[in-house]
Amino acid sequence: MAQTYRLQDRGRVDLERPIDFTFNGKRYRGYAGDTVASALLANGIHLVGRSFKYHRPRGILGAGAEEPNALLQVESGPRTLPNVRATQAELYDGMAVTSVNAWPGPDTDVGAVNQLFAKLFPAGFYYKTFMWPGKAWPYYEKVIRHAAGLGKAPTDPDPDFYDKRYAHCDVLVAGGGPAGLAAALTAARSGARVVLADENPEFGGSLLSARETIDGKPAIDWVQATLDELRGHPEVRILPRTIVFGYYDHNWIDLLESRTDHLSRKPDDRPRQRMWKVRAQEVVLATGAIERPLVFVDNDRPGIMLASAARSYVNRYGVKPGNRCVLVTNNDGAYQAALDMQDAGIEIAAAIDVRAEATGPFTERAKQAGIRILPNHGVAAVDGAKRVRAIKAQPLAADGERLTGASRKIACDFVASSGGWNPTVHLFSQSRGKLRFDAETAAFVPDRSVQRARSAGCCQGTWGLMGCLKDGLAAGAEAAKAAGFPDTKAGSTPKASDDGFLPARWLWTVPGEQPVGHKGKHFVDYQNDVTAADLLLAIREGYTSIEHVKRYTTTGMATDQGKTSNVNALGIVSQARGLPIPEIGTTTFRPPYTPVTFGAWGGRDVGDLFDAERHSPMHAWHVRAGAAFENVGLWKRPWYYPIGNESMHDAVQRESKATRDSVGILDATTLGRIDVQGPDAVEFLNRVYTNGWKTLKPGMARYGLMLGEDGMVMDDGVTACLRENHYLMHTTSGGAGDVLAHLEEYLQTEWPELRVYLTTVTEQYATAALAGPNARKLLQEVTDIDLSPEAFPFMTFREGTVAGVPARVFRISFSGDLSFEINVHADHGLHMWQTLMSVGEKYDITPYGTETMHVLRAEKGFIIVGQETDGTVTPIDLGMDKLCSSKKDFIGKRSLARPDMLDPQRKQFVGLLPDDPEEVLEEGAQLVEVLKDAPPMDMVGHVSSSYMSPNLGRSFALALVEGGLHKHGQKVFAPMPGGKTIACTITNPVFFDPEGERLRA
Amino acid sequence: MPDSMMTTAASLRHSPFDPLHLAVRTQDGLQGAGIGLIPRDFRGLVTLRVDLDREPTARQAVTDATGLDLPTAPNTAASQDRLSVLWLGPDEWLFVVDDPAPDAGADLQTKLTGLLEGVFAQVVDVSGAQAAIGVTGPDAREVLERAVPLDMHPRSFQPGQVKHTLFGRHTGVSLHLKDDQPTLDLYCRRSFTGYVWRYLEDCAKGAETTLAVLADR
Repeated sequence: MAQTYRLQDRGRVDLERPIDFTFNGKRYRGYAGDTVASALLANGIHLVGRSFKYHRPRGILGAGAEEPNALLQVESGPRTLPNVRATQAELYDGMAVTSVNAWPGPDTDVGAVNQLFAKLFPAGFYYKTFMWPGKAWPYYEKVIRHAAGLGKAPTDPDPDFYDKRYAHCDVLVAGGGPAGLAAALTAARSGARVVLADENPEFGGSLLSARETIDGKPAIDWVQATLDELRGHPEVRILPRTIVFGYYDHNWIDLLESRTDHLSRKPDDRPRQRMWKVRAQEVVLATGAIERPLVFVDNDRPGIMLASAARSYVNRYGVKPGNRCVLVTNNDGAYQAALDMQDAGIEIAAAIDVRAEATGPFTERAKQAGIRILPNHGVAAVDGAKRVRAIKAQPLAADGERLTGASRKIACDFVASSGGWNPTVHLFSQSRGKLRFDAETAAFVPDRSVQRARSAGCCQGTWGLMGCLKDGLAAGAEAAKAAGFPDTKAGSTPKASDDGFLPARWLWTVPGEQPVGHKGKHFVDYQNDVTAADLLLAIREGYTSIEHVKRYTTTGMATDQGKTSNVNALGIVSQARGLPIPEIGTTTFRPPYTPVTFGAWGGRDVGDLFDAERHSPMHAWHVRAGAAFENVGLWKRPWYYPIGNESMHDAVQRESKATRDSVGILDATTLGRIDVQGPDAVEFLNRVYTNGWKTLKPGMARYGLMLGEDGMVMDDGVTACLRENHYLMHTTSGGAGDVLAHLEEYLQTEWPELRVYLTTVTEQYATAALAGPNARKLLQEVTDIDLSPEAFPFMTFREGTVAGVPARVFRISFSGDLSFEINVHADHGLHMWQTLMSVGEKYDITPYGTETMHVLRAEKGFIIVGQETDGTVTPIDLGMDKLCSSKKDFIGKRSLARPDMLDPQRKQFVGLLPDDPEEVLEEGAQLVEVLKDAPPMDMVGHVSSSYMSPNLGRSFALALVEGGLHKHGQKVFAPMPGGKTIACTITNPVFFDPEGERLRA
Repeated sequence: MPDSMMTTAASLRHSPFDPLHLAVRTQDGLQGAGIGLIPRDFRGLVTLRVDLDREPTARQAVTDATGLDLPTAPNTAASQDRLSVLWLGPDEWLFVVDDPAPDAGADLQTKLTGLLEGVFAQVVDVSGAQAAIGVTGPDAREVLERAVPLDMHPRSFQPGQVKHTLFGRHTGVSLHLKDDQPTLDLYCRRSFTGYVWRYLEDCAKGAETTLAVLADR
């Protein structure tokens, strides 16, 4: 477990706190402060996985969010996370990580056979290879997914919980490097509410990996002092381990905070991760920059990494990526890494510099330090498949497009590569900010913000440390001022070095021994396995737009979002097409910047809180009674009340019969209720319902049908006149909210002259419907209201007391039986219900649920909006045209006069009786008049409701059938899957008590 | 049916919180908890809808009936003794009678209706339609910011203000900030009481703080 490559004299890891972990089942040791990547490198491990498509051996390329290769599976079982960047994952004791896309392991990977067939997987191979036959795609996809995919998602329920919260601030600072810290400082001094977030456990950003000084002291001292001051400002929120990953309209920004991912023992009372939904007045982007690799042949061999990453491992983690390094660079800045490595005791075997002349301040220092520089050289070949062993350098021809002269082989155990730097403009681009191509640095930099945001430091192309600090101080002050806070004096900028990385030479493809695409691969996008040859092929095949090239080759897609590949790909396309990069354009960077777990997205809106449940005041009683529940909108309504092991069918048969034979009770609390008041209330009702309301006197109630402007049935219900100019409207349970919005919209926008107010009172009342021949006898025992048919006729209501509490009782009926609907204050609901149950014992009172309610109403041919209607059904189709007044206008009336609405062949509402009285049709079954041996057949309608009725002693159904109103007595057939056919006769839809004697009893 | 369910109710009234079987803390105060939730079992609630421009006498009539001047500044509330009135919209207010008497809402409704005779207005008793939850404690803002997208910071939400917003993913609530402890009253539709309460409990867990259920008054 020796960490052969650990440096004892540098780095920020805690050598006093060793940490044991396993990689692919083998035990290793690292230190607190390590990432998985740095700990693996300390143990001499570069090879960590296999690539997505070709299963090429891959090593660690970067040291942060940019890592495209080292995607690992962390832990196993329900807590496992796939595709975690080893460069971001903090090491903890007992951590178990494994390679992805490599079976049985990265050393001996069966899938590596794909490399032999690499010629079969060119750009767009999905589109070319799996096009035929089209039907087989689902099969191909399954095979491809298994072969290509990366990590494995957990299959068991997540044992952790996730927090999600909103936050508001005046200034959000994304990134805690020198520019971000400086920006937070000036913003905080103004008194603004500041959120400062950085993905790392430690603030400091690039300073953690550097050996620079600020004001003559180690830069980290400045970081500490800045944090100390920030912590003293009460309105500053400092969020380590928090990555800003999404930037949307109106400065709406998503952050992901890791709470326990880095802990060995995850406390039960702490969320694993927290999603922040931040609304910021002003934003400072200080997201730094990402080095880009050089595109040379076989540049993906394990051991080949970014120069900046190598520097980071040496300086921040105290880890040598190897003992003998070759630097491959196109710029001066990379020599800084070489110098730091040399200082740490790493031998710099050579620096292959593609520039015609190797010049610049760091280059000069490297020369002085005795580093052998090979200017105007390219990489002819790379030796070593699972770990680089040597690199072959060869002079470049004058045009830089091929190699010439003698090559020399340089032995090494790792390679540091630098192709220049890309400002991290992902968030800026997500915010729809416009980018500008800076030719000098060959990079896209922010141009114009379209939101209230500004960039500071490397992410806007400021390369020196002093410049970054200055940028940050100014940006923080400016942001606070823009948010309405007083000007703060930025003060003098701390003294620091101010070096850039130029001069550089932009050689987008470094030529090798063979032309690109022959022998060896020039990788551009490591994560998606896209090579320079793929890009060139796409262009040859006519994909000239960069957006098409992206989709055809998949470069810059998926979780990587082109962090290391974007500009290299553009450069290659630009060169191949002979157009400057600005004319090629760039593709859009999309959120999330790095992957976000589904757990964090879901937050607390999972499990019991996924869907709100609305409960009536009697809900607890229903639960105790063992009811099965049905979702109606968000309401949980009793569906049926099984006794013992009773099946749903048996329970519903029993409830239906008991209600018709004696008395049943239904919780009807969920009905929508709207209090309608005002001098123009009756006129308003006349306009929103199809039927007339002028004759409705106080104490009376009437059924109303409500249409949309299209003439289709929208809702129905009973409205009562409480007193003059005061009505109580009932809506369907599911339609309550929509109906109120519909009515308010008309009042506020179409008829503002009407003096009418609406207030929802749905929840003010608890309602029990008593139905059945004994309903009157039972209710009379607990009420002071005279229930005699003379004193209390059908379609009226009375007020009094029920069970000793104030009540309004409606004599209306959805069951078709003698029925009273009792409304009491919601607080009294349970009491009223329990009293009726108790007193009703002698009548064998039976609680019934929505299913029995459906059976009973269907026996009467009463429609349910949303079951018999589907937004295409008119009152005429339902045979309810008598309810459409000809004496007044109403919403939807004009639509009903359209010729198509009067077409006698529209689907119309009918009853159905299956020939076999035991056969229950399936709801939704299609109906035909002419039966054929096999589909297709001409369908003339469908079954909308279907039940077995104990009261009719047979099955029956409701349906919509073309021209059905005039087809009573005719036969239709329901051909079912499996070849069975159910023959039925079309009937009048009223099956039970057609004269309504029971209803009015 | 089991016999136990046939027994008469212990009380004629059940608050929206009864089904939650809350373990209400008997001793006073938060006792170190970060947030306290108070089930406000019974309240009188009355909505008033009237256009003060169209009905100039209404404002005085309301003052005569309640002693309160209707707040016309958006998102504000007025309080006096045990009565508060919350601005819900340009022509809509909610009166809250801090009195558990069964007729508290109905009585105010009768009184207002009487004084607004002849005025185009709507007065409705909604005491049963909503549940009120008191929220207090040093972490109250942190917890609520998990449930509602509002800015709860004292700079943007001051005592005497009332705001209406989405709660969780499913329902609307009104939040009346009464003091800078802070103490708030949250009003939700009665049928959502369980959802709102459980959601707040989960928010407290997410905020890594402790929650106490406190008795009303």
